[in-house]
Amino acid sequence: MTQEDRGLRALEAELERLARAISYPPSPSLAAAVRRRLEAGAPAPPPRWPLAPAPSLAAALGIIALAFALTLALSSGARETVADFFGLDRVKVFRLEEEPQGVAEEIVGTPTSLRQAQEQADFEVRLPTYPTGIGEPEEVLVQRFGERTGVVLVYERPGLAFSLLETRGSIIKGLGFEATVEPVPVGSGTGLWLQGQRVVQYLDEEGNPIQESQRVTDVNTLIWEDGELLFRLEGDLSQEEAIRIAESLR
Amino acid sequence: MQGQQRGGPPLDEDELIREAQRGDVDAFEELVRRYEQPAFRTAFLITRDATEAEDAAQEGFLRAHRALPGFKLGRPFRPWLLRIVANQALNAMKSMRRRATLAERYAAKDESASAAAVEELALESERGRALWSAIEMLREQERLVIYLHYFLSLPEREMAEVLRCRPGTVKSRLHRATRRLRDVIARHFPELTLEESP
Repeated sequence: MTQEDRGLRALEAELERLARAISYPPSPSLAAAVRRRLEAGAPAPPPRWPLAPAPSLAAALGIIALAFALTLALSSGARETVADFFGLDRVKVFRLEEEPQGVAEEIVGTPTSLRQAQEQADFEVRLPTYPTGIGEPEEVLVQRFGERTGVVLVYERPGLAFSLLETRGSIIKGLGFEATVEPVPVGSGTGLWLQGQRVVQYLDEEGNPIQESQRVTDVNTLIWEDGELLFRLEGDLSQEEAIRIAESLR
Repeated sequence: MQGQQRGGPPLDEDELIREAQRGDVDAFEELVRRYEQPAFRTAFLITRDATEAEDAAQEGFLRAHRALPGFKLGRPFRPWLLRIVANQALNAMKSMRRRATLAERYAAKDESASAAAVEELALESERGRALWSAIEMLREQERLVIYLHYFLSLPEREMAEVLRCRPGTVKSRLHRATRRLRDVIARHFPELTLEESP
């Protein structure tokens, strides 16, 4: 056993001792309170749009979906994506019929330097300039799914945690039960602000989801387009902060 | 139908969930009763505040009730529930922190919660308090994987569900988090010399 292994084993033992030593506050009795709220009419589940059963995201692509958070009335038989309606060409949004299972959460990609990512990307990578002094990201990932290339900038330091995807590609988002989507102004255009559990995937040139790019998230996300590029900002941010970061890209 | 058959044995979990999915409030109340302790403890580890934890756990149960129609019977309920509760607790913590602007938080390096958190846990030893403070310096997902393994003793497959990662990656995530913790200790808590007990 190496010294490093011994050190880690010692740390594991310390963590186990700490876990035993913690004195939790008494667990409150939640059952009665939850019941009262249910009987008093806790907010109803979000309405489900009339989607045909979609066992796979690929099948669901044949169905154009809507985000329930909007109050737009649609004529029967008329279906539009939120993204299309607000002029976002590279984003498709629909409602999932079932909770996604076995879908990973991690952002995948090949770690690289900012300079190399710039060389590999077929577009100019932009960097946020807000908050002041933000500097370069802690990590840069290049994603390649078929013909699609994306660059993910990961900022992760005390007080600041978000990832920014930049791509010429298109993505599709499957909204979970409680996910919401809201159009918001970003610069001179419109973006989408998403909260709650979603599945996201790249679309290939024919508009089919690229299976291996699939991941799930419930972190607040802002999506917007600028020219030929799609941006996706995901992180521990309020809507206002996300928009501010989005508008600071240079 | 009640959450327990009249005069019979308690319903098993799948039966309770099925009844709750059909709208039986008694059945859902029984589920809450069975899982309120792990739910509260999960929320407490994340928020480090008993009141916030109670609110997050309660809200987690309500969200779970709303999402119940999409729950597939036969799956383990606990990790599915704890994921919802953990997300509520994480959101609560973010709301607490977001009272300062992003720029203020970034300037302050967001280190203010540590002292209060240690007090809440009533840790008696200096080493325990220092180790807890070190855990607090990890990234959110690193802390979570350590809570799930060491403090909540979840098996790997349940951790995978809570973390929404492939089961095969749980070990590596735990290993990375532990190594990061070791590095944080070496850098910020040198007094915590880690020696393996004989």
